[in-house]
Amino acid sequence: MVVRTARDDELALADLLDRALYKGVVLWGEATISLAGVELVYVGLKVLVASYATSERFRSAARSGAS
Amino acid sequence: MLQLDRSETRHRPAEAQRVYVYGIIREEEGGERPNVPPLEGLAGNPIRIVANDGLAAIVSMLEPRAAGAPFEEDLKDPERAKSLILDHHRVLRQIIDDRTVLPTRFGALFADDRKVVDALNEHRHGLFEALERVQGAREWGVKIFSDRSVLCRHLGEESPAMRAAQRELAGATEGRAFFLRRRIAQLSEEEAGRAIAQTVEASRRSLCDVARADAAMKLQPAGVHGRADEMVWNGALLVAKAADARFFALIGELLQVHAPRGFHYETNGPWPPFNFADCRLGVRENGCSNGA
Repeated sequence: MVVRTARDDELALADLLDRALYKGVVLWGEATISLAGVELVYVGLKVLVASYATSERFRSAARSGAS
Repeated sequence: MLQLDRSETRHRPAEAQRVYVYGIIREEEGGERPNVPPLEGLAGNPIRIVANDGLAAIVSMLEPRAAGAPFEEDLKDPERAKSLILDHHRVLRQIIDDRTVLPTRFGALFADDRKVVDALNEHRHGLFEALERVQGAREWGVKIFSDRSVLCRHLGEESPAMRAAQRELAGATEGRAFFLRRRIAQLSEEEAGRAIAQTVEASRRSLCDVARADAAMKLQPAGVHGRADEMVWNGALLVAKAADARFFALIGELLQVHAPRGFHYETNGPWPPFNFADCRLGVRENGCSNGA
């Protein structure tokens, strides 16, 4: 019996949304997404997430080579 | 690794472009100037840093199309929003192994570098405090699941009240049996609730022996976590990188202890310390706290 650890390439999108949209430092820039905007994005993405068969995983592997 | 010279880090963007902020780091960590890997940020623009007086913001430019006011308009397309949020995480993920980062909440757009520097200055004290809290640490998610049928079977064998009711049931008349079955079901629910709360609290306290702080996130429904059993805790733990091995050994031990009663543990990460940087700087009524 082992504990399953989801790492980088198998993290769930839902776990990222719960963090990136609701947690983290808020530095209010003049174009910072509003709380109402966050709800809008979250609800839209929930629909997107729900349209996949199971909890969706995402890839966070590096895309390097920017010039 | 790309070493960015300070002189390069401040320039006014072309008209209508805006500056997107991913996170805040110290300008120097361990005597080293910020090193930012040659990464692509949102919409493929290169990552750079805007440093000022000990603090540095990890930023990239955002094109007018994406930055068009309001930003929300661009996010109404879920696929587009998803891609931007994944970019936000991907950039932070490349940095958290090497540096202490305070992740910003998704969606922080500034008019230009000057405005970013102003924000760093304005929230200087709170940012340094928050950086101190997460110094050298990353966030790991820990989810605890409970299979109630396994737990209730176990409790039925343990609980004196339930065993007494079971014994009585064996020789009971039909009417009495009906009452006893209901009583057993009710006892079973109550005891399961208590056992779950106790196991979650014991696990949390145990994890906090190794972790620096913990935060409870909202529970996810089965449709989101995709398991047959019930999520009973969705925790975030702030763990120093040096303590990772002990942390995972501990979770293995918790699983061994609690699995016979139908508990299961899952971990995910490492995350930027989102749950431990949750302070709305500049909003007076919301103070900084150690984890939400």
